Amino acid sequence: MLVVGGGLYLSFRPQTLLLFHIAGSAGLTETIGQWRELWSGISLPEWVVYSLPGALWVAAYVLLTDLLQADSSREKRLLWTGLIPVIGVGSEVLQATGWLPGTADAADAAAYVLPYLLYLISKHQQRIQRTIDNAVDR
Amino acid sequence: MQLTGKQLTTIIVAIAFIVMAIMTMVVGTDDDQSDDSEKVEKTESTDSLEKSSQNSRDTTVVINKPIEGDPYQELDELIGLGAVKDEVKSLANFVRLQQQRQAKGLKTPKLSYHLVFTGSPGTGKTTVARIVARIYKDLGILKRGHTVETDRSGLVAEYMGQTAIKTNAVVDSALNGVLFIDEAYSLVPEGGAHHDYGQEAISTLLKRMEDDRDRLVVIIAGYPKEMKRFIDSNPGLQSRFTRYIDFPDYTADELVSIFHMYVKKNEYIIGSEADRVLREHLEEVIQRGDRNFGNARYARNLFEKCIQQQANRLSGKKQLTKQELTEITRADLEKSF
Repeated sequence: MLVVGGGLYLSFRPQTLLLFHIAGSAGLTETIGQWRELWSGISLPEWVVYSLPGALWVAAYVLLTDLLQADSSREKRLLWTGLIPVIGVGSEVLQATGWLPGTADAADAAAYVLPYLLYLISKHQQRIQRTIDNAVDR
Repeated sequence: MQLTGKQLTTIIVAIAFIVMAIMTMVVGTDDDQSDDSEKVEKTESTDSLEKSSQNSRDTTVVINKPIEGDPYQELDELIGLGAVKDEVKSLANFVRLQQQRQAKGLKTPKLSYHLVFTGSPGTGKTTVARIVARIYKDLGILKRGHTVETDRSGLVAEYMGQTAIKTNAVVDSALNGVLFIDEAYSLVPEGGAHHDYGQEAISTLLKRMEDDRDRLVVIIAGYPKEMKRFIDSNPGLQSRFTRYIDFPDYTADELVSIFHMYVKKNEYIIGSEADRVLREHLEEVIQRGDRNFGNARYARNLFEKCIQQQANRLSGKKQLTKQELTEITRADLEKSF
């Protein structure tokens, strides 16, 4: 997920991002330029370029944290897994109010929320299934 | 409180993800604090925008997000520019009709959306470029409708091989929007200087205009004569830039209206005596025919000087009335000329 999201940034996003500046300082501008040249003929939908990487970023974090917190209580797990989605949505709010640079976008905010929402739903389904299984076992 | 190994790992993971997010933050871009009531003053104005540096300390690239609102209405509300408004509306009508023809399977000519804006500084070229970007978005030509404003310094680097990289970076930031190149003729110095990388910037730009023809619209702007020389210098430019829009200098009446707009917007008033002096002064300045006269920018600067003079005049006075706080007098004006 992170590789796909990172690839989208590297290949299709404008080079005004901090990561390109850092890469430029590291002397990678030309390499990145050649890489981007490979994809220059491809036109992706706007949501793929601008919102999907955010959704993949949140999904990767949620799944990784869920794995790390597998032994923790449900509350703790939800708290930890929700951290990055909350930061993501918070950053959109801060952008909207002008506290952070960038363009606030409802689609981006939705992209941060959606994977977490799907995660919560799937967890809820698992819980219900476990309750049913336990009842059947008894 | 002691952290377990897993908690510590989770914290490290969270920090790593936050760092990733920081890496994807846009640098060198500022929010456009555009005000709907601010129409003509947006011309050539960068006071609400950040000038970002890319690769060079002298580089100027201004990125404007598309603002909400009806671009057609904003175009109508601009002071003066009658012919420009007609030309932009005519272009929009043409594109709309061709799209309808295309939808019905009828033949459509190959459309070029790139434009050449000719006119003196301060005649509304940048403002109209921003509106055109939003109209193009409305017509479905562009997905985002933002504008990236730059000039030679934003495209040309100091060292060999760097110009293409620099130009590509600016073009990348303009994809799905409009790249506005002010004083584009400066890319080709008069007389054709050796070792000038302007030509490299033009070649890169032309290539990108071809490669990204569905995602990039370029508007080039500058003085009419120089722009003609610039476009004639390269067949690639000639074939791509076929639509010209001329921005005439503002008349004295229009400049007075622009000055009044600033007065009203900033909650000042101007007496009839001062107004007469203002009109006479603007007529005189226009008659002088100075090429570097800033048109709308001149009116804005004059207003700014006036309110500074008013502040100086009233300094030290106590218990100011509302009339005193708002009125721009003849003396304020005359000291500002």
